[in-house]
Amino acid sequence: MKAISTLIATAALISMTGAQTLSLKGSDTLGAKLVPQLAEAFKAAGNKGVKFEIAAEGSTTAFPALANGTAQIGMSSRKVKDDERTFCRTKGVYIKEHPICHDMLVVIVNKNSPLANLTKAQVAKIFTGQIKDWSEIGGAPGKISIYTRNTSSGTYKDWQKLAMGGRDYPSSSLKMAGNEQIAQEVAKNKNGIGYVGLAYSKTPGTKALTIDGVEPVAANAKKYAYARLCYLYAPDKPTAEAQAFLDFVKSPAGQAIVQKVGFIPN
Amino acid sequence: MRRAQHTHPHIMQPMKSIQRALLASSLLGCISAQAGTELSSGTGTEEPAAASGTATGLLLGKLTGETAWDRAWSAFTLYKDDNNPILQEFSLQGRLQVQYADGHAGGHFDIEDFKRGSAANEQTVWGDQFEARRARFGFKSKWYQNWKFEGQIDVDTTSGVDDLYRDIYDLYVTYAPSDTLNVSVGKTKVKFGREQEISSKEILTFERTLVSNLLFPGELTGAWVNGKGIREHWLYELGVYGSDRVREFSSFDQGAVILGKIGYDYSSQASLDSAVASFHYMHNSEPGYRESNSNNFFASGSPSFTDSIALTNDITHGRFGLTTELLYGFGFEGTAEVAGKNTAVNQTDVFGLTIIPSYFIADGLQLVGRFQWATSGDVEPKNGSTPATTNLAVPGRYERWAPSVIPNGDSYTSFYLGLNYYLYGHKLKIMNGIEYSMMDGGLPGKNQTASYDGYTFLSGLRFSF
Repeated sequence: MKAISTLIATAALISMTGAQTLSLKGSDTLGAKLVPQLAEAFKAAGNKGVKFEIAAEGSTTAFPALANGTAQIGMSSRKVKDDERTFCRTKGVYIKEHPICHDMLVVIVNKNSPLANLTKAQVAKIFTGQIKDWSEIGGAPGKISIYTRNTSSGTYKDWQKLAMGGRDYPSSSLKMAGNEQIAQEVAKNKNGIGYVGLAYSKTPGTKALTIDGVEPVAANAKKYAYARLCYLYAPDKPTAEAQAFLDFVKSPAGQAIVQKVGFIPN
Repeated sequence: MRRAQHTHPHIMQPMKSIQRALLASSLLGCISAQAGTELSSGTGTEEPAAASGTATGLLLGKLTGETAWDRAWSAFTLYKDDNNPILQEFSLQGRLQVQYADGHAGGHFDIEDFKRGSAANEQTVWGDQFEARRARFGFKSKWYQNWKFEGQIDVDTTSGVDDLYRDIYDLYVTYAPSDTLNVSVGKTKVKFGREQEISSKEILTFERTLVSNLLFPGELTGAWVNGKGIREHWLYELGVYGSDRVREFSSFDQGAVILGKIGYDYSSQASLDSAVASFHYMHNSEPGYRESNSNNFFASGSPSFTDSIALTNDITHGRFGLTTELLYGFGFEGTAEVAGKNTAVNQTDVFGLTIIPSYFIADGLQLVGRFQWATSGDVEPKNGSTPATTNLAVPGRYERWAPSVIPNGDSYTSFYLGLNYYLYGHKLKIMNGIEYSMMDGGLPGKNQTASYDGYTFLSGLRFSF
């Protein structure tokens, strides 16, 4: 009996040491959907021995985790700050930046809206509640209904920074769980306006607006007002698994998944 | 034990009140944040209550971080909740740098000689061998997402707990709706030149260079606007300050210091981790002005330069870092009010070149070098009613306290080699360094030589939060 249990324990130990764990921490924008799907595809592409641990608790958590060695890859929807990089350096971690995709937030209105374009200033005024009626900006009279992500979403705050100069949403704004819900509500409401990821910008019943004349399409990722580059960060000498995963993310197969999930390939 | 049981609730009472107040405001924030209509049916879903669950901080008994070091330093954050629409963060901040110095230039000198040098020096020395070089304590806070309110006092660490306050180091309000626009009002350190831009929590050497300190206008009261990321690469700053360096706030009746900067971040073009080149210009309408000293506060004068310019370049990549700076100050010749009296000033132009390379030779162990070269107009003695020129002064830390040292010269060169060991980033580090420096062209007084030539060894600890 003892011999059998010893054998089982040894086998378990061997299988455990055989499985390599790749830990990724940081942005919820990347970690909620994109990176898990990339991880699955990576495993399916012949890397079954790699076990993923993904903690999506915000970009800010990526860099202490890299510095402390509790993550091999950091996920971030913004560039690393100087003090974050410096902290990593003082811990012997010299991080390297890997831009992997653009995240684009598209302003949508109901398909029956006569509007086709808004300026950045108009968008800011609408989402902060300064402009309350469509007639104030050349639309058909009607009280504007604002649809936003809910407050626990990283995108809720990102939009505040990107489009609203950091100011607050009006109390009348309608908070939704995700992109799909926002698009569906805007499709039903002729006075609705919201922001969604690029993949949801063609939802039937909605219309994507140009911003300052720039169309929200992948080709305009660098000039569209509400697009941002997203990154993976890793030490300059990553583990073999981390390097293989980074290579996969940047490969055509990885970038195809980026596009499928609704981000813009880099 | 029984006594402890009796006293414990009384001690905890004020703490509990503070906790309750913060919790209440946090909850209020929650309610306000969720005042918008929540769709609980149809396509919408109810969102989780955000604020009460995400608040952290010492006052709530919630320390954060992955390591014991992280958690220890997180105790300086008293309250933090990004989801609270009113108060997002309230933290303590401060620094303490303690150092030992020992030098030789025609004879031995150390901290004890520095201490004997002036009443101001005496105020910072612990015993006879250690100087509490920088001691500051204060707070920082973030309100309504875009507002920051922070401040620090200089702490007198030698006069006992009843007399800790020396002066207001900084105290200001910032409105920061985005990276491209920060508007601030209050008292702050005026950051002219790259070395002054880098906080003394993070400079790689014990002291900044001679010319950087000579042109430094101090902590002044005023208004300034700055930003970065304009068209991705550009950064700027523009500030106007009262030029008087005072214990608290300027009276705005002694002229103005105007500072302008423009910089370009070329890190992406050069494929470097960070790379910024910048140009700084500063004008001083009241050069040489100095307040009277008063108890426990020793005022430094406004620099005796009408205009100053700086050209800087700062890069880091992997283990390597390099700061390069060119500084030029246009000397003032005329009359300035010094401690209430009109005093003739004859400051020559000065020029400085600084090169600071650094390299991490092992985890947490950084080798730092520094070369500085400074030159000024010729040293001239008093001539009739024209006062003697003021040129380059031998640095007060600590070469000036060497035996028989000349006070001024017109050419200064120094080489510094240091080793920094980072225990917890810039927040706790041990520093060691040796500097060899030379000053030439001075007018020797009695028992003095016309040049300075010596070395200084420094060892210290820098702690900040």
